[in-house]
Amino acid sequence: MSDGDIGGPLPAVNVRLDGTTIGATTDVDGVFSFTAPAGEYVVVFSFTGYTTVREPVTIQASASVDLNVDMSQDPLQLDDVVVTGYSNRERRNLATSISSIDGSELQDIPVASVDNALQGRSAGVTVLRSSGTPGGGVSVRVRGGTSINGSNEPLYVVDGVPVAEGGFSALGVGNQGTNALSTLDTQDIESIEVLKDAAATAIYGTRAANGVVLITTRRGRSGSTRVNLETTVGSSSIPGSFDVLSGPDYIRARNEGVVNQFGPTRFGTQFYGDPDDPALVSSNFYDEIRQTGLLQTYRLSLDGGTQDTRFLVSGNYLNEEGALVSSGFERYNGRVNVDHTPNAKTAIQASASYNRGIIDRIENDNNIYGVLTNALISNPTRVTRDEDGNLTPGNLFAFDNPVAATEIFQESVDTKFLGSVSGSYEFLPGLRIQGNAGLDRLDLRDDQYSPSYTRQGSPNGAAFSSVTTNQRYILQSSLGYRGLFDQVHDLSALVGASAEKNDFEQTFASSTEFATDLLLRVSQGAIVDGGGSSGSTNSLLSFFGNTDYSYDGRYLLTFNARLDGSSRFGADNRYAFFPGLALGWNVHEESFLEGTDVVSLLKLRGSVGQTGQQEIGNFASLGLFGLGADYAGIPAAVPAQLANPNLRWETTTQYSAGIDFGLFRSRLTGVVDVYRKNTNDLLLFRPLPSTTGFTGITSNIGSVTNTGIELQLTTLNVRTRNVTWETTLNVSRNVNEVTALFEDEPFNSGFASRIAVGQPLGVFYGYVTDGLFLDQSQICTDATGATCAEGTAYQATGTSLGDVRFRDIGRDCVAADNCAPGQTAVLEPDGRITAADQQFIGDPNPDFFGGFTNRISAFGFEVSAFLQFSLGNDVFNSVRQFNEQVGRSFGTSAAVNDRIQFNADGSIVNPDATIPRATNSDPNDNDRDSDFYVEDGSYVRLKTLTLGYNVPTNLLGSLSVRSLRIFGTAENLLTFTNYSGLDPEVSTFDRSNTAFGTDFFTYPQARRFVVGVRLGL
Amino acid sequence: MGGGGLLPQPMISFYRMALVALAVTSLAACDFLEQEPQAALSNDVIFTSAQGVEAAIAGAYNRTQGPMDDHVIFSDLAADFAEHTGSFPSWNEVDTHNIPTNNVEASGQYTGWYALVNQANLLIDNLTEDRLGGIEGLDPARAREIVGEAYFFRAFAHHNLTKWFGGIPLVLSSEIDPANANIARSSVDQVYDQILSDLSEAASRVADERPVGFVDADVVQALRARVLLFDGQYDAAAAAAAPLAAAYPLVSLDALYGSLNSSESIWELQYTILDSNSMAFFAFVTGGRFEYGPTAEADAFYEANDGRREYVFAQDGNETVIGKYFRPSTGDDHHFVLRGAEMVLIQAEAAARRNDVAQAVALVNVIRARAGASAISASTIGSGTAALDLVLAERARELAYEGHRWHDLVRTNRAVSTLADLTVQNFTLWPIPQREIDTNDLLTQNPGY
Repeated sequence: MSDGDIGGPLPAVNVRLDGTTIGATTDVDGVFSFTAPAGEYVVVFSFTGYTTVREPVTIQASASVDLNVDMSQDPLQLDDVVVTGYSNRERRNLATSISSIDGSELQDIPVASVDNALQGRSAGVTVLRSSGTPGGGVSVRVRGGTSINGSNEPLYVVDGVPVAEGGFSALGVGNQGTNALSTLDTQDIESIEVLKDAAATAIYGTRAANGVVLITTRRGRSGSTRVNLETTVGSSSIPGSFDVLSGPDYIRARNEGVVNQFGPTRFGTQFYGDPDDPALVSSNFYDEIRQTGLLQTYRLSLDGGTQDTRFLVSGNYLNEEGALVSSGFERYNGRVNVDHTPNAKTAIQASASYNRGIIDRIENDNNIYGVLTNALISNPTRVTRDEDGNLTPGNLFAFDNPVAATEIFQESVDTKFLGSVSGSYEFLPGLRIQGNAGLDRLDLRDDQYSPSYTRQGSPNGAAFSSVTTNQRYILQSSLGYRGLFDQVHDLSALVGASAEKNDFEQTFASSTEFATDLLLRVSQGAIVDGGGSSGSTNSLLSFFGNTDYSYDGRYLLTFNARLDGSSRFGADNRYAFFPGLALGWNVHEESFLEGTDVVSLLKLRGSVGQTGQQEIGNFASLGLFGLGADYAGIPAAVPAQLANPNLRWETTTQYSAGIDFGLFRSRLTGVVDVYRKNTNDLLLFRPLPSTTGFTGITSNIGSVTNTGIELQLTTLNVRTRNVTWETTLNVSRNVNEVTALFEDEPFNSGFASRIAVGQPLGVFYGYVTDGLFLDQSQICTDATGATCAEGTAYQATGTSLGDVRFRDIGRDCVAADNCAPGQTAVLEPDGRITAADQQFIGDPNPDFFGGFTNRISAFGFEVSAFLQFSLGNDVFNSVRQFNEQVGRSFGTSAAVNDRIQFNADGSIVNPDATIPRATNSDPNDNDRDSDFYVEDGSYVRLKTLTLGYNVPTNLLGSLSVRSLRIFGTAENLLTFTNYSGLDPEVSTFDRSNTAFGTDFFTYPQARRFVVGVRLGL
Repeated sequence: MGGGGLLPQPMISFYRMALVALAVTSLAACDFLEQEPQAALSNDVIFTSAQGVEAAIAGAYNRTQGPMDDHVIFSDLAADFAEHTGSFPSWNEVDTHNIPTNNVEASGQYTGWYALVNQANLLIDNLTEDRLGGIEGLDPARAREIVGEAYFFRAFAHHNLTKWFGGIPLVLSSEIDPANANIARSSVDQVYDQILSDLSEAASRVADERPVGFVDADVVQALRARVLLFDGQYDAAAAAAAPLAAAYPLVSLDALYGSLNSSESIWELQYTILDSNSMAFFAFVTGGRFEYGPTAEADAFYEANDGRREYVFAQDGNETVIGKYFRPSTGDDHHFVLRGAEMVLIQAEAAARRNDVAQAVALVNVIRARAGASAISASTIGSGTAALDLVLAERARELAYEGHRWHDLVRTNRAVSTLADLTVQNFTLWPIPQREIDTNDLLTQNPGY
């Protein structure tokens, strides 16, 4: 077996007798052999990225046959088999929209969870890392967010088992959660398929509205056992700095705040001390909580086997020290994949992985005990340790000593078993019955201990411990057929059924009053102050079907459908049906394009279908009394939820069309897709007057649309025997719009995010600023607004020169205005600054996002540069809302040096200043949510840069080494952005559907450098 | 079969297994999709047994615990006894009287107290005579007491609401029609009439005496005395208060604040470590978040040797904090909802209002004597108005941080003249939360918002 283009043996080619499971894999020299019963066969040679070759052969009893085959590369990868859900299809026969990511793209990346790895690699897929927290959460949006209260994350299916994703930890550390997918080893992944259009996803029915990510793990290949060893070592750190006020400048600002507000005599001019006191120190706490963390991985995998039985065994250990002190992630993985084909008609697969992730967590974000929180807003004249090296008391700082806060022990240990067994038997030619059983079990243990000297643990220590298990099991069976009639009708069909159940249980306990900080367990505390257990179950019973038909390789049709019954839906609406249809036309197979060199691929695709979303909580439809509360030891029952027996899934109808093309001998290939997703019956909490005793009832109301275009282009710039250079660009644009809410009434989320009709999810809402007050005549003092001159408005009792001037835009809508539903303000100045003056002030959704990859290989060297970008998205920088509170205790940012200051006569010294005057209590509420804190969060990031060298095999010959690769990778090496905060790629509300893009003391992304060696034996 | 001949053994078993799987997944359909919650009961089950009913009345106490913290904290934060020292913008808005219509604290009070009204109405509606037969094991006498407690809670919740918001919707039924849940505000007079009527219903039903922390006849009467005072029926208030002042005499400050459930307390709302409140957490630096603290004005209210100082304030590191609730790590401080001293001060206020200076001063001196503060000489108080000033100042001192100050200033129309940062009379009523206006078409906003 050899590479027909550039010569040389081709290893790892799959060789199979067509219609049987008899076959083998070529070895490092391109050699293969197998035995088969006598007969007439077609031998099929297939290899990812190469055109499949079919050779007829006649095998006679007790005779051997030699075959020599050249294969040529196919940049279009039309023969690659794409996993489409319950079956497979060659890419050339696909009419649906499915992106594939080859596992090889995920190699050389230091630390990546599966969802991280999707970032920038697939058009139409947005990946937002909520923070740089090791092992932390990631939001993935396939063609935009469809839901407000449900989930917007895709369904993840690993080797046929839908797996739990998201955070299960009971520890609250601010906002950032854990990530159930972070324990999967990306190096075990053979391929990832992202199903995007509804025709592809409909087969997953009520969980498919946000796309489906199918993950296939590597499997053993027959032949002598191959051993792969890999080790990497590296570092993790956060670049940049935080510009903090010097101690004297901080005292000056605070003194100035008192004088500005109360005059120089009432409290004096040095209320907070003498700024010129030589004893004043200037601390930078941000520098004290950062570190350069050590990162290391070790990996061993073995695979091999006979024709009948193949295996893969792998193990992996990873240890990453975080870039913030006390944070880190450690992971152990083990996997066994076995394939057994006892005869030509039967195939059995078993896959099992056991993973253990240990996350050392620190508090951040919206949390007074947060490490970053306290580091960025604490008085810089304090020191974290006294002369003797002891930690200083927490009450000297914003809320706690930031260094002490890193000593809170918080560990989440996430143990995951994922296993499946499947078997198939072809009982009639082309007709195959399949069965499959899978288990996804997650055991998560959370432990927390806050030492007595931390604010959270004072006065005598506090411990918390919890155990969570989430167990999902699935049983499914199907009957599939594939046949070719009259050489032109290629038909495959499948029907099946599946049953799934998810059991969740959590038990926790907490205690206080510890004799010592040395023993951390709950039972060492004298007072057990909390405990409980909870459990919840849901189930899904489904029937599904799939038909793929292609006529002469030219005309393609796919029809998928699923009937889902869910325990979560109301009694009156238990079953839901989801169909999807796609049509395709391989224009390049038509005779009129025969013989042209220009067009090697031209496929037109179109699809329509419906999918659903059932992440609505397990019992949202029932009317419930909650139990578990008490009064004076007597159990108490309070109404918890109003019944809605009609409650149903959210439905998304998607229309999608696309073109696949390959031009100029496939030097230029690409995919363009356009889509529109209309999501209706959104589950919203329909607000009720609180006089009912409830604040609302969960109902199917509301609609969201996503409209977008995706472009993926690959060019093969250079291709010679020794040098290749390939460039891939993907760019997507998604326009999200809320089109209906309950009575079109807008509502708020997060800090400054709002959900409103006509706006995208997550839009920012707040006051519009018109600079600072520089002239007394601009300040209106009439609280009724009646005498305010045009263009001025009453803001607050204490408004003064140097305060922020907010724009008077609206007045409250009153009955006389005939207010439309949802209308709260009339756009008409009323001489007062009120809630009615708030506007939409920014959009966290990017205009464009994508990735740009260049791969160059020359003489054994490989360079790969992967840029990822997000353009046109805003960030609400809520950190500035605190550390620019000039003159007040949290106002530590050096930015406040550029504040309005006054001469002795009260005139302004520096009218060009950008920051308002210092005050002691901000009577004008300068720091309210406004466009002052909205920043352009666009960024372009050199996500990974890899340099690798594959030592040529001829140099290795004497060492009995099959392959040797040496590589180095830099992650997040360069970031281009105008964002002023620590990192634009953050979201303090973790994976919120509606409040993303807010920065609030969120762990920034780390920069990592890694070098590694991969050895094949 | 395609291959002809017999199938090898392993395949037969697999073939069967697959068929069994198909069969199992199909047959299990009926039960498989019926999953029951493990932490909640459906509505129709609660009012079928005595246990369910007892849990539902305990639920009323539980629902009182919820909004009580905020009710007490904001009564001083909005007034001159406490100031905002922490990071919650919504608390700062309360402190500075810049309360936007979407302030979450105003919303919390509105929502919290109406949830209690709903709980009370559920009990009143489900324990009618004709329904008692359907409730297993419930003694009719006990049912009557429970209905009495429910009337009390409805009155208590409506009163707390009207103190913040003025005329409010009176909700007198537990029936909910999501499609038509609009309800208009009643006038303040109508609200007080309903509260007093509910208290009469309660008084005719509740037990004479119940364990500490539960509502009995004295608790109902004490609330009645307070409501009459707010309603301007001073002599009636004093008449209701007098027997309670006698029955719940003042105890030492240490007995009152240092321990729980002193004999002066008519009703202390109970909390345990498993069922904790945040009073001390919000007040203290150590073990808390020091979200609010005492003002200099509060300090100036007390003379140097006033024994209440050491209970009202506490020193925590560098900070002077509010000290009445001092168990931040366990959160089991109680709320002093109704106690003997308030009954004495109600009588004192009624005396001042009828120009009986001597009695007003004498009653104030009863309070002062217990605190070790100097006695006031009646001769220095020249008028009923001066006596009223004296009584109100003593109320501020005695009932500090127990949920009174702002409401006393507002009901006596002294808020704007007393509070430096409150200049707009309209702001003495909080805004009706915008979400309520948006969801209830009949609701009107308070003037000035």
